[in-house]
Amino acid sequence: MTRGAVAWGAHAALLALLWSGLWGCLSPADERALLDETVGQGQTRGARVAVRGGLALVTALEPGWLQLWAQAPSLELEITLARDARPDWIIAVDNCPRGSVLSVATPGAERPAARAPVPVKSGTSGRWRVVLARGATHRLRIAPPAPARPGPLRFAVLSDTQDPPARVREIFRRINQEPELAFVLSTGDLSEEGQRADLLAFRQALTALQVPFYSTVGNHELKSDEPELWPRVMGRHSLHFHFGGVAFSLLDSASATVSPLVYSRLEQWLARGAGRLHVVLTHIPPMDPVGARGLAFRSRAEAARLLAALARGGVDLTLYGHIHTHHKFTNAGIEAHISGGGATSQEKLDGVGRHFLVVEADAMLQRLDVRRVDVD
Amino acid sequence: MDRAVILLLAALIAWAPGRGFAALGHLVSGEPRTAGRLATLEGLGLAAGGAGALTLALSHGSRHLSGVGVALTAAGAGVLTSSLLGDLYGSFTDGRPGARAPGRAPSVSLQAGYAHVHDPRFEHGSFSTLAADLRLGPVALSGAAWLALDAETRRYQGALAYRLTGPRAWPARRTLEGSFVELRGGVSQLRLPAHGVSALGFEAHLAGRLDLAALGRTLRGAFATLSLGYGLVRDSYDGPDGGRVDDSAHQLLARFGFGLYLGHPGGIHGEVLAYYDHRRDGLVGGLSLGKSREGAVGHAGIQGHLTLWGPWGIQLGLAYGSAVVARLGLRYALVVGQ
Repeated sequence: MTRGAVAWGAHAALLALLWSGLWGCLSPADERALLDETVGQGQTRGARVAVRGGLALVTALEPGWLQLWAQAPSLELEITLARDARPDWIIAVDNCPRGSVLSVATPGAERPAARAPVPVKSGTSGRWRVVLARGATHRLRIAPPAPARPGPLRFAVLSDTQDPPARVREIFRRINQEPELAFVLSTGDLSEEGQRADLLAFRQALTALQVPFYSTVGNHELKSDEPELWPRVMGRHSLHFHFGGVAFSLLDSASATVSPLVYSRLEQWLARGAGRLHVVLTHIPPMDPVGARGLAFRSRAEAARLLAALARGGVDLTLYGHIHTHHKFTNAGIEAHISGGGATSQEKLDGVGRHFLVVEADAMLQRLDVRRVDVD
Repeated sequence: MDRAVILLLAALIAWAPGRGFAALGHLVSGEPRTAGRLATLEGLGLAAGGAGALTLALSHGSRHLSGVGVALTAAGAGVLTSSLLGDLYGSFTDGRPGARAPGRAPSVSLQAGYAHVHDPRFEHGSFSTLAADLRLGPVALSGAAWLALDAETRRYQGALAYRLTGPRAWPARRTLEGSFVELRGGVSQLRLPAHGVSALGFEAHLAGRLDLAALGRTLRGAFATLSLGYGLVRDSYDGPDGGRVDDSAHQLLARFGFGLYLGHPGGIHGEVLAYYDHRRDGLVGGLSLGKSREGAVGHAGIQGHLTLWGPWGIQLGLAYGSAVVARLGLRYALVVGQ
C-alpha cells in the first residue's frame, strides 16, 4: 500500500471517529427533561408521595417524616398510606413563603385528618405535624394564605450569582429591603463551577433571604460531573406554576437549546396560562440583542420557533440571564429583559453593575412593570 | 536517511508536538523556508486570535467591542488552523504536484440533490436541493433552494459576487493557481410555516482563498479559505391575534477552512474542504462546546465536489451544529473556453 493511501485511510478513519463521537452526544437537554419526571416522587415503607407538577424535591422520606424543597410558592401533594403505615407524620417544607399553611383533604374520609403546626424553623422553612388515616390517599396543600386585600404580585429576579456566597449574601440583603416581595426567581448559573458543594453552599446562603428562591438551571450548572445533581439538590430543570393570578414558566435552556420534551410541556403550559399574565424565564436568551456577540441559542431557527410559540401563547414577559448586564428589548413583540446581574464580572463599558430586577404584576389590570435595582 | 522515513517522522512530529507549533514538521523534513512561512502565519493567527479573545475576556463581552473581538478571534483561528493543518499536510504528503485548481471558473454550474437534516426540534428531515451558479468574467450570480419533502420548511438563497483577483470565468484569462479574493452580497429566506416563523436575511462579505502552494512546494494541492462579513436578519412571527410581529437583528459572518484539490484538471478532479462557519441562522445551527455549553459558536463541516465525466460530477457535504446535515447531489459544471 502506498504512503498516500495510508495517509488518506488514517484521515478518513479520524474523520469517521470524530463524526461518530459528535453524533453520540446530541441531547443532554433531553436527558435533563427526562430526569424532571422523577422529581417530586418518593416512596418509603408503607407510604408513597407525589408532588403535583414535580414542584418540590423530596429531600427526605422515611416513615413519619417527609421533607421537601419547594420550587413554587403553592404546593399540592398526595400521600398514599398503606394499612400498616405509620399515621403520624411531620411534613417539613424548605424554601416556602413565610406563613404558609397546610391543609389536608382525604377523599371518602368521614372526618378530616388532625393536624397541628410545629414552630417554624427559619424564614422560609415550615413544619407541620399531621395524623393521616391509614389505607387512604390524602391530598395536602401548602401555600401562603390568600391576602386580605388583593393587590399586585411583586417578585424579584436574580441570575448568574457566580460569586462566593459572602458576596451573594450582599445582594440578598439588598433584596430583603424591597417591600412585599413574594419570592425571587432566577434563570440559573447559581455558582461558577456548579459542583455539589457549590449548590449546597448556595442553598445554605439562601437562609439569608427572607423569601423563597425558585430557579431553572444555567449552563454553569452543567459543569458538574454529576448529571443528576440539579434534580437532587434544586429540583426540576423546567417547571410551571401559577401564583397571584400570574402564570410562570421556567424553561431549561442551559445547553443553548430546549429539549423537544420541554417544547411539548410548554404547549400545555401556554394553554394553561391563556388569558392570564404569563412570565417565561430561561437562562440563555434565544437571541442576543448584540448579534455580533451571539450569546444565544445554538440555532437561530430554533430561537425563532420558541419565540413564535411564546408570542402565539400570549406570553407577556420574557426574562433571561447568561449575559452579565441588563438589556431591555422586545422579542417577537414580547417585552424582554436580560439580567445576569448577580456576578461581579459584569460587562464593561455599559454602566451596569450588579443588580436585580423587581417585577410588579397586576393580574386585575393585566399589567407588568419591571425596574432594575442596582446593588453596587 | 530514507526520504520516506524522514517524512514519517515529520508527520508524527507535526501531528503531536506540531499541534502547538505549526512548523515543526517542515523543519524536521528539511524545508526551513516553508517552515518559516508557516511559523509566520501561525504567529499572525495567534496574535489576531489572542487579541480578539483578550478583547472579549477583558470587556466581559462588551456590546461595543464584541464585533471586533469575535471577528479577530475567528480570523486568527482560521489562519492558525490553516498553518497547523498545512504543516501536517506537507509533512504527510511532501506536496502533490499535479493536484491544483482548474485555471478557470465554470461559466455554468447546476446542482440537484438530496439532503437529510437531523434535528429533533423540527419536523423536517428530507430535502430536495437545487442550486445554480452563472459566471461571466469576474461576476457570479447564484441561487439555491432547499425544499423539505416531509414538511413545509423552505430555504432560499441568492447571491451576487465580484471576483477581485483569481480564476474567473470565460472570457477572462486562465490563471495558474486557485487563490482568489471575492466580494459577495446575498439575500436568504428561511420559512418555517409549521411554527409561524420566517427569517429574511441580507449579508455582505469578503471571501478569499489562498493556494498554499504559494508558501512552498510541499503544500501543493492544499488551500485555505477565510471570509468575514456582516448580516442583517428580519424575523417575522405569527402574533396571538393573527397579525405579524417583526424583529431585526444583526450577525457577524465568519468562515474559514482547509481544503485539498483532488485529482488533476483534465481528468477526474475536484476538491474537498473542511470548514468552520460562525453562522447559526440556517438549518445547521451551532456547535455546543465545553462542559458549560456556552452556545456562542457556529458549525463545522466538510464539503466537496468531484467532476467525473465531462461536465458531470457529484457533490457532497456533511455539517454538524445543533443539527446534523448530510447532502449528496449531481453537479453539472460547464467551463467555457476550456
